[in-house]
Amino acid sequence: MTIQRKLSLAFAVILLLFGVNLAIYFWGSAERTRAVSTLSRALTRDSLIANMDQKLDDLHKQITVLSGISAGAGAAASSPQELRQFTAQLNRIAGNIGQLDALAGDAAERTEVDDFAATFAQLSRSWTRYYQDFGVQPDVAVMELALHAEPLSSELFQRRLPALQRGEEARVRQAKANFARASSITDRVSVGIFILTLLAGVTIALRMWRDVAAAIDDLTRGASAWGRGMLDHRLPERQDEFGQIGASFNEMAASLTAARESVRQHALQLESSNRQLAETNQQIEKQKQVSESLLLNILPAAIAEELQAQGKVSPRYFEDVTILFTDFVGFTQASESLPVEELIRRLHHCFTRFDQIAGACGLEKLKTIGDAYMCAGGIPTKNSSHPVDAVLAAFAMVEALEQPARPGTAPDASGEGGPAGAAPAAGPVPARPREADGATPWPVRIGIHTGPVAAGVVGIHKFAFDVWGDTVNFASRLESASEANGINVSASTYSRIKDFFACAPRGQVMTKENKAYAMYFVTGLRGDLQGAEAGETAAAFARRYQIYFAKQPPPLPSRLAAVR
Amino acid sequence: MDRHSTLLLKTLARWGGVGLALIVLAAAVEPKPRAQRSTPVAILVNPATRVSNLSLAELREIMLGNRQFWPDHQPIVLLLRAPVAPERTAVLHIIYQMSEAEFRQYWIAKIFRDETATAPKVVYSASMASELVVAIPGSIAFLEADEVQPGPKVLTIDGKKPGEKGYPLQ
Repeated sequence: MTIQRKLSLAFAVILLLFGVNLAIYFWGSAERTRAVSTLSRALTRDSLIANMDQKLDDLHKQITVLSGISAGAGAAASSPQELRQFTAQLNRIAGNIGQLDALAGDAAERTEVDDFAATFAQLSRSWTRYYQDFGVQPDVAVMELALHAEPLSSELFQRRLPALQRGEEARVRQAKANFARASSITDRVSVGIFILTLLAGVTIALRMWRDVAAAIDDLTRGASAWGRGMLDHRLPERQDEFGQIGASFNEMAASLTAARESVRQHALQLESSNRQLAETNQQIEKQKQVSESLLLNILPAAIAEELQAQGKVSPRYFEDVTILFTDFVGFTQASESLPVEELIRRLHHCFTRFDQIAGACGLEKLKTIGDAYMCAGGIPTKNSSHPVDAVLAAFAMVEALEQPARPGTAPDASGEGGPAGAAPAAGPVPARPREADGATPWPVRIGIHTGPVAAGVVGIHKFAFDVWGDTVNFASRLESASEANGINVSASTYSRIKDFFACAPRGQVMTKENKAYAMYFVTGLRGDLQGAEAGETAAAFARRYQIYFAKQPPPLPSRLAAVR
Repeated sequence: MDRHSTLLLKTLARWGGVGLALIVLAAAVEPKPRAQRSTPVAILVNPATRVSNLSLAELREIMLGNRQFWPDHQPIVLLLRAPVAPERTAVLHIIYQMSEAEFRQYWIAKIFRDETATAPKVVYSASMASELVVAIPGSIAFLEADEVQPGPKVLTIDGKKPGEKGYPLQ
């Protein structure tokens, strides 16, 4: 049973008890009122009867005394005034009887009063006749008195009046008894109902307290268990509102259990996913590193960063760039006689050295086209030393091709297998072409020109950082116009390197476009930079280099350092 | 004087405390007893009365109002001659052993003490007494024996008839 229903039932019980108490109260009040009314009426009637009794007794005594004691031989008749007074007394008694009759409550009372009234009427007439005959017809008066009045008075005093009095006394007793009974019943019922109400209240309070306390205890234990994480704890089933709350809590606990299990599963999945993601990230990172490495291999670092950051590279215009072209002399004939693999191996060896040299001299390799190698200085990072750097790289390349290299080793900056100061090779350096076939290595033509170019990356696949412009074309023409192991520079380049290198003017040289340009072969260092030893030369070169460009120079090729 | 006393009694009887005044008045009008006569007094009762003999004590109880019913429960009605009548004097002297004043005082007191519902009725002549004794059931009256008329029953006292030797009411 729900608490609401229990409370409603308790309220109904208390209301019923209250109603019963109220009904009993009203019944008792009505009974007492009726008893008091009856008692009052009985007392009034009793008073009337006593009054009549007294008056009748007085009249009776008067008649008795008059008839026997005071009557003498000379008794006179009653005067009219005496008769009127006597009749008036009788009438007053008759009036009292009328009042008594009016106060009669039931038929029995009325019958008693009627009998009394009838007897009194006869007695009254008899007494009146006696009074009328007294002194006039004494014998008739005495006979009236003896034969009628006295028997009637005897009946009246010995039967009717006592009957009336007994009736009134009985009614008074009955009224008193009714009053006492009503009071007693009211009191007992009130006390009984009070006790019942008290018992009901205490019982209801105890039951409610027990139920509520037990329910709260269950809830407290449940909350404590759930608080400790024991979500499998369940509240006991109840049929009241606390049962509904408990069911809701149980559902909540079940939901929490399911949610916790789901979270656990998700955590496991997430952990697994994280592991997979970490592995994937590692792979991605590796791939990224590979990609970045590859990207850095094909693009300058700054361009690669821009491409990674923006997804594209904006075309740029460089005012001052030095383009260096190389081309092997006799490569075409060699390609016809050598196996392809050997040809490629040689090219790989040479270009690997060139890559090292370009990197060491601060040049940016742009591309290879067949046996041609193209690199540039002053891009993408601008500087002012790029013409000198390009010439140094050209000398290093020529030197790298002329000097023998130890098999399996990369040329290095010490001059063993590479130009001085060049960065070590990333991998094993293939055997030099001369060592592979015993033939003379390929001489190389080198052309260098300084001028403006446009640079950028085009396309979306196989990115390549490239430069465009007349400077590029003219650099290529300079290479074409060069000689084996010759370093052919333009006038613009010459003007930038003449403080460092000695150059032999070639005059106006015709290009394949039939245009004449001033060209110079770089022969070596300027004389004023050459010392008695290689170290002095290098130091002098370095000093000038630092003065001109405010930085350390790249490694000076040993060929230049040794020249006197 | 009797008339005045009667009127006074009528008036005073309306109040409860007039007994003493009546006694005083009665004493004032007490008649002088007559000289005793030799004519016996006969006791007459209604012919229907089932009693024929009474002892003097029984007669005395009846006359004093202490016995108010005959053995057959018939109420006893006392008829007594008016004052100055010789049989009344004889009854007062022999039975009541009271003077007239004492007689009145006795009955008034008895009435006002509610010891009796009736009092002796006064009859004014022998013929009236004889007639009333015959007419009123349970009545008892006193007459000189020579005035007794046919009709009423004459009782013997202590077994003796009026005129016989030893009859108490001589």
